[in-house]
Amino acid sequence: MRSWTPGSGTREPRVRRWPGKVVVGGSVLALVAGLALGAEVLAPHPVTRMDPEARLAVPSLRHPLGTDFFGRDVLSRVLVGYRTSLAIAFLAVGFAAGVGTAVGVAAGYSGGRTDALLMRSMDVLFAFPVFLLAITIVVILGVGTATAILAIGIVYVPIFARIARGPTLVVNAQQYVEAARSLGASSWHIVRRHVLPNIATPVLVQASTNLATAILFESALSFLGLGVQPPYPSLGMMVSEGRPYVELSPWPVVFPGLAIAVVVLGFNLLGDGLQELLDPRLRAQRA
Amino acid sequence: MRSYLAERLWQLPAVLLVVSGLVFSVMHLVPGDPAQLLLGFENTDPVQLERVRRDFGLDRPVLVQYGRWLGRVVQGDLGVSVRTGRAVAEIVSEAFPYTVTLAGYALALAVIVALPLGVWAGTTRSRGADAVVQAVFLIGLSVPAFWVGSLLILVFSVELRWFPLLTYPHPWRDPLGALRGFLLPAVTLAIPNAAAIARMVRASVLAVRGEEYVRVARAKGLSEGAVIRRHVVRNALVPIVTLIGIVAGYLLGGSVVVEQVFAVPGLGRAGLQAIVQRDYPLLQGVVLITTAAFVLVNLVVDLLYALLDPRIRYA
Repeated sequence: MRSWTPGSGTREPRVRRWPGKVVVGGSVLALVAGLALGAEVLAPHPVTRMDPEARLAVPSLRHPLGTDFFGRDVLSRVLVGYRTSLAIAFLAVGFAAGVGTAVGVAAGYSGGRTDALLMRSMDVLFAFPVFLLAITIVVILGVGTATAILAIGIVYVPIFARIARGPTLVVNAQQYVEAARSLGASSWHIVRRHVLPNIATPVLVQASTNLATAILFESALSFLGLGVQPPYPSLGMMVSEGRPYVELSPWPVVFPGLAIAVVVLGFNLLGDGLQELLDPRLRAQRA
Repeated sequence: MRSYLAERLWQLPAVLLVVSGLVFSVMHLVPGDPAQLLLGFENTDPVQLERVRRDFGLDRPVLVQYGRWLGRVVQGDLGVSVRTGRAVAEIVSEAFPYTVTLAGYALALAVIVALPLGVWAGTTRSRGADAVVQAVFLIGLSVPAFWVGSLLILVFSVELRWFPLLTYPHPWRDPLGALRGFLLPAVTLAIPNAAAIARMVRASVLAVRGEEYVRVARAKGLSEGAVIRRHVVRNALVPIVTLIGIVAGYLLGGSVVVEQVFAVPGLGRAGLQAIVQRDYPLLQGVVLITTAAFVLVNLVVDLLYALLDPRIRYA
């Protein structure tokens, strides 16, 4: 039992230090981002070049992660696949955060009927199982990279709308907002100067967590053939391409999946760490 | 409680109505002529197209079409699969037991593993042990299901031959066989959900542990075990039950990938096949049934939530 004195329980001396999770997660992500951005230079072989002599090769110096059934270098394809996955995830979550925040702020700021209408339509989106909703959107818009981005983005919109609405309601009821309004400030000014700064942090933390699920989502869509189309590599598709030959060589399945897990873990660590940083209760209660 | 129940039940048909409207519009939102979609793409005979239009009432206004469609759906007629010619209701009711079994099995596994592990992580005094368990939870959240599934099949079905390869006994007729046959897909589906639940349990237990009544319980001399059982876990339960409910709903609609990996003949796989084969009546049926199940599960969760926490009923 730790000693407890009034006022000491919620404040620790090391508040300013970054949590280990943020450091580890951030480092992993920086590394992955570097690999993804430098994919063209770093990739030892062209991603679509097939080498009939080296089909399903085991990892070696020439092919550090082996080759797939067509003799394509797995490492090169993982690097380029990273870029695709990250790009899709960032665009999808960016879309969701942008649209969702706009909806949430509009709902919270306007109140009344607008609020009810906007939030009920968000509830309807929430009423669908996410994956089924996403693949239905893919079907309506046609398979492709842009569709995958939009499908994942739409699915996440209600989450951001809910996150943005709460703080908007709170800020809107503050006296300084009333003061600003009585001084003749426009709604746009109030939203920009008072509301947005107050919701930026929760939205960013949510975005970090959602980037993790967005990458899993994208890879699942690609795995099912509903995302990025061949021959352009994506990590999920590489796993599904490797499956028929997994008995002959597991590497084309093992490495792309591992690559997904690493980047998702990076985002999860970062999201978790940021949450701890922002919510002192999560830190202080650890004895 | 009664008025809360009444209100939630009253909302149900409204939600289902909106959902059905959206599902119905899928048919009209996909690019192309609905009659052509119904007939399949190989057949372009204009006479037959015209007949399909008349038979299915596609020449009527959209709202009339929706009304008629809804009328049939309410009577249990979900239309006919354009690929197999079989009734969609029949296909869906055949697939449903597999999906429900898989979801229930995975949920049971997830809860059995997550509850004790989460409570332990939340109550342990060892920072090192807590860090390790937290890392394990995060890894569980981060691995893609289709990858885990593929590797489990490779190791346990192909190499070790412990499990039959991609064959599943009917869960109603052979429950014991199903317990064995569904183990690998259920484990795959359970992993990320177990991790999510365990994290919630840990966080919830940690939060409750700092409450004053827990200190009081200790101060009055209760044993550590009794404190945890009676005061910590019981009060930590509300958010946990909510999350378990969310997971249950998610499992019903989210098993598409796992069903595909393990070739489980469930709803998700039927839906995916419908997409690939452009079988829109089948897709509508699958989405409608899954969403209805999802909405119902969420309703049950809300009610359970209110039952556990009296404050919600009066809010």
